[in-house]
Amino acid sequence: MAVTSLAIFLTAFAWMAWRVRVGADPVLSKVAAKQAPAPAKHIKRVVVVRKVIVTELPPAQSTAAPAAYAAPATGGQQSYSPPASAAPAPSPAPAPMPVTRGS
Amino acid sequence: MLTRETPHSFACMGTEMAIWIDHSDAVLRQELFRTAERFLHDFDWRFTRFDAGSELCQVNADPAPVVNVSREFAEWLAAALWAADWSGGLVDPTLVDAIEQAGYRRSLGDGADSDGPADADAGNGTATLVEALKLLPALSAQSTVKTNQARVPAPVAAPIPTPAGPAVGAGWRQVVLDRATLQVARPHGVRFDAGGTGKGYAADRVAAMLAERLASGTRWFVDCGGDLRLSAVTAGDRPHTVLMQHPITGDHSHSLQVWGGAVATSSVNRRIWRNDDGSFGHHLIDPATGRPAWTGLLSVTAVGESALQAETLAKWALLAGPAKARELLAGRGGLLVQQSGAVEVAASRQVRQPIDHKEAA
Repeated sequence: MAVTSLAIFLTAFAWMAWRVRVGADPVLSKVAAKQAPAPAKHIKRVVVVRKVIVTELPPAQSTAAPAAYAAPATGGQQSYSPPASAAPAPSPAPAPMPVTRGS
Repeated sequence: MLTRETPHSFACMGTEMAIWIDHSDAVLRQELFRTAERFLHDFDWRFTRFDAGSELCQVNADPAPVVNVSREFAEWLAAALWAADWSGGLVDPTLVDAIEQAGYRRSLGDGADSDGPADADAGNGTATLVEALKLLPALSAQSTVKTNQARVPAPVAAPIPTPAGPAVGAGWRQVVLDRATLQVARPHGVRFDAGGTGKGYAADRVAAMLAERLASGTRWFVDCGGDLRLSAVTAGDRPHTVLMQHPITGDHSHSLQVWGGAVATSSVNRRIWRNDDGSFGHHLIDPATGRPAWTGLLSVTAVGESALQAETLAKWALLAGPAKARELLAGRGGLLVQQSGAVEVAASRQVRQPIDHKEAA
């Protein structure tokens, strides 16, 4: 039992020492790389393509606020006013509705 | 919200006129407003029945069997004769005698007594439809009261709803118009009145001018006392919304969606007056009887390709009574207001009900 355990220990130690030596020596590293089994040719590269929807955000939804609207240095209650160009586009006023009545 | 130009409005023909143009060029808008207003005032001056100097009065007073008229007069008369023919004689432009005998001998304006106090030549004076409708049941009850009750006014029979009919030997059928020589021949005593077709015809004339000067797709409308002409709506654009004024309540109770053409309303609530005997008269004369028509309808709103057509159709339908009116309006749609005040919708695909009064305000 003790002999078996010692043998396993020494084997593991020798393997670790070899790995350290190979990793440190560039020549041995290349040899080891050549000896490594080539990847199976039947495994193809898998490419995942995400469908991307590009949305043009209006200026008001820009992630960075313009410097002009940074918080005042003196403190106080922080307020934010959207820039004029960020205001929603004005909607046209409804057309007047004519009235038909007895003539 | 962007501001939008308000309609250009002014008084003319004893009523309120309005023109609206959705165009960014203010100079062009003002020029078109001026041109249209000048035309309408000239039309009013030429065709008023209440000014002896008007061409209409001069033609009516001329004893000659054949008279020369202006191009403007000839074109209107051609339109009026078309309306009379199309309506089977119900929209008759030669009922001046009857309408004067009924009490309409001075301009009553568009509303109640808008032209000042009544004079001795205009019956007892202007009245409102509400007054007339309130009195109708009472007058009907009085017809059973014995005459020895001195404090009871002389009984006046409430009018029984009766469809109007064409006049026998109608004057308009004997009128001969030569549009080339601008001459009008008519029997002695036949006089013309532009009240039944003048506003619709005038709205069409203004509309033709706007359509000629403005690009296709420009939105506009012409309102001649409630007779409306509207620009053609291009594909994909929203329709015009036209509000109908209820003849009793005055509310905008219904709206119509139209893609151009015209909308007109004929109603007994305009130009209504009270006679010496307590009865009520109005300007829509039954050609068959020569008296104001009570057909069971208070107003009819009709849709047409032109304002003249819509106005003629509305008057024709009102005079013909409910049954015929439904038939006449079935094609293009419209609204009937019965004597009870109930509104009946014809061809509901074009009519929305009820509307949001806040929206309409």
